[in-house]
Amino acid sequence: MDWWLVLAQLLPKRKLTDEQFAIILVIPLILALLALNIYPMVYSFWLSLTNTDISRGISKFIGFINYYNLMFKDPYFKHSLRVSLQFTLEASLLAVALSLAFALILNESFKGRRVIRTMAILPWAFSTYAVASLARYLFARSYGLFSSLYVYLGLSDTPIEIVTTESAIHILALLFAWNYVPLGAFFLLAQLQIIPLDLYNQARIDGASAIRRFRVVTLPFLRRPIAIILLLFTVFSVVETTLIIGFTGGGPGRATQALTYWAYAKTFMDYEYGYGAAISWFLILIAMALGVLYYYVLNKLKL
Amino acid sequence: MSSPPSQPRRNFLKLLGVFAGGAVVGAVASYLGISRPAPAPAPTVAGPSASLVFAIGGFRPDVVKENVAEFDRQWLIPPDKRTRVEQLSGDLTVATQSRLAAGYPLDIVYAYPYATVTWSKAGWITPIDDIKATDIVPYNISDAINEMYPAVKEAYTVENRLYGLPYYISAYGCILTNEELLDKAGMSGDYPYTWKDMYDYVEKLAAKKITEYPLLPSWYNEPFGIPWAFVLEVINQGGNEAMWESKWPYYPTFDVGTLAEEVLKDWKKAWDNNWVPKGVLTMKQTDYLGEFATGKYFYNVNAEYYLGYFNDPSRSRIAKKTSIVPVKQQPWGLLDSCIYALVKRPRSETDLEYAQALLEFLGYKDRYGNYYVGKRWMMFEFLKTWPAVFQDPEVRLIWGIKLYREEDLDAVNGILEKVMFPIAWKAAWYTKWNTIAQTELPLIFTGEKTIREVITTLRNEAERLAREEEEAAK
Repeated sequence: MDWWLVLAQLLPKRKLTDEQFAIILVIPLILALLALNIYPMVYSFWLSLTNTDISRGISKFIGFINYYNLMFKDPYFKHSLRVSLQFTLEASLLAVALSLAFALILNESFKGRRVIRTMAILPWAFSTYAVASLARYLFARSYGLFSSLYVYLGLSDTPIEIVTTESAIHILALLFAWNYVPLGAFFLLAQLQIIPLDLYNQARIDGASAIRRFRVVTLPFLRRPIAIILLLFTVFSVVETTLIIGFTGGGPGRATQALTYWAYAKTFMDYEYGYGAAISWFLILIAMALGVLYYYVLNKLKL
Repeated sequence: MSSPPSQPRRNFLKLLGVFAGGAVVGAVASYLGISRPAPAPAPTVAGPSASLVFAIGGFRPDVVKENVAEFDRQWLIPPDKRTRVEQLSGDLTVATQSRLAAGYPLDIVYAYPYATVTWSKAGWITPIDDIKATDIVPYNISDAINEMYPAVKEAYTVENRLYGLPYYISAYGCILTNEELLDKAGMSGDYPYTWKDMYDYVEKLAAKKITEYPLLPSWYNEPFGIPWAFVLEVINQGGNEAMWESKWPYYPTFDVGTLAEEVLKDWKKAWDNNWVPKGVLTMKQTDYLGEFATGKYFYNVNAEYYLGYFNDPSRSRIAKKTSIVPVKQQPWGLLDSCIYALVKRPRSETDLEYAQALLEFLGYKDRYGNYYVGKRWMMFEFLKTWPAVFQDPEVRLIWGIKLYREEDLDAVNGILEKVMFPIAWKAAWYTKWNTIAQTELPLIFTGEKTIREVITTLRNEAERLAREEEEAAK
């Protein structure tokens, strides 16, 4: 007998209520969530409480020792934390500012708006790894576009080094913003489209300047969406790994060795899965803390 | 300017002639039944009880599958028991190890030096040095051991037992030369034969102001970039004992005031004098290869393997102009290699012999006495295995034409004879120290640390890691 017939016989014979029926329908989704999201998260947290090191073939429960070692014993922790915070703040704020600017431009009526809108979404179509690879070529000293342009414009006789210990983190933030701005811009654009035109007309009649119209009409409508994309970009940038590994690999020197890079290095180069998981969970805590902070600040500023 | 030893047109005609001649001779020989040496006697049993399984990574699976198909042909394996090639995704060592740990039925796996130590101690792979010739297994392994490059033997011997046969070997950290530029500088054929000499030569070349930077050192941002560059320069000049003790857990011997400091002083001098491009610290391997391929450097510290790459006109502007400095005084580089290892698992005697035969076929010779697989890898990818493959007429012909000069093949063979194996690669702690070295070494250039501070950190970390490993083993 087929298994579903057996299952059907086991089910109660009375008629199901709407709620019961709905619960049965969402059970597969709950199971999928458990398998794909909850289990890996719980497992990675469990891993962070062990000294799992596959190069040594050890895995023992050690409580919160990994977290203690990370914060108080790892000589690279402070530096990596500083890099992570700098990158997150720069990248997320830049991405939000540019998203807003693009959304406002794309909301205006001008010839070729459709084409521009289509083109504007293209950077988001690039995978982060593709962005990193592309950037490596664009910023390369010997054969990169920017360095060549510098020479072509007569600003230097020889190609220049653009990615230095000082500039690398800012370039990474810029690349992050370039990649994610379309997402933020279209999110904000959707909101801009529902602002009633009457409000702008009334503001004009009242003699409000463009800046004032933006402040009193546009911004109140965008307050929530900005908070949401800021939160999203913060989480995305805190955990950004591919861009850093793909573009600078943590260099030059250790200039871009964010915590994500360190988690990657400990997990996949040193095979210390337990310690790597602890760093990842620490990153999640940072993302949550920054999210709460942003939300608090935005509420305080009544944006 | 000295012209390359062979001109393209003449080479083409020469090649055409050899192929045409080869085809005629081959046809006649085939007709007479003398095209191949007499094979070893055919196996008396019709294959193993089940398909042999060979776990591979993502590199040229097409070539691997053809190799394995040839094994099946030569050993008359029935169609339903043909050898299975299992392509693993992700990190090959991790993927292989998880399967070995789970008891997944594999027969041949790729193994790197440290994995060989771990897997042999875990009892997942089996020593091969006592394999004897039978109806199925064509060779005593002692024959192969006598031919093996010394560093390979050292790298894959654990507690006096050998654990595999070479899949590829390479000397990482040789000096590749741009002969066109050297000719311009009037220094053609005048090579540095020690690392110290190289920095002196770089100084001389910088003074000539022919290029912006004379040297592209392997200080790029990869685990096998700057950390390996440091290790190889120290051990090439002072032997393994200049870096670490000769016995497990290989406590460090390098310190402030030793050869390690001298090496870093040479580096700092090259950096401060602008003999090297600053961007090398952020380069990935592909950028690094592309950089030397631009033809703007006299010297490049790289694996001899990349002679093939830089002499390929589709990839490089210095094709037929890239040569290599042979070994005259000190060895060049460290051994970058991988072996075929035989998985230990319950098998019948016959099945074990077939697995051993596959191992020998892949890692040594076929049933006709040819280095079939090694030669194919050499022809297709310039991967080296056995010294004798360098003497193969077809190999010499093909690579003699592709390389700057045919003698470079002998130079590579000579380098492989002397190449060094960093003994601490047999310890679990090495990879962790390597990650630290990748972070610490660039700091002498960015000004965040002094040479002495970096050496002290590296030594302390090596000591700590070795001690932890020793204590964990108790």
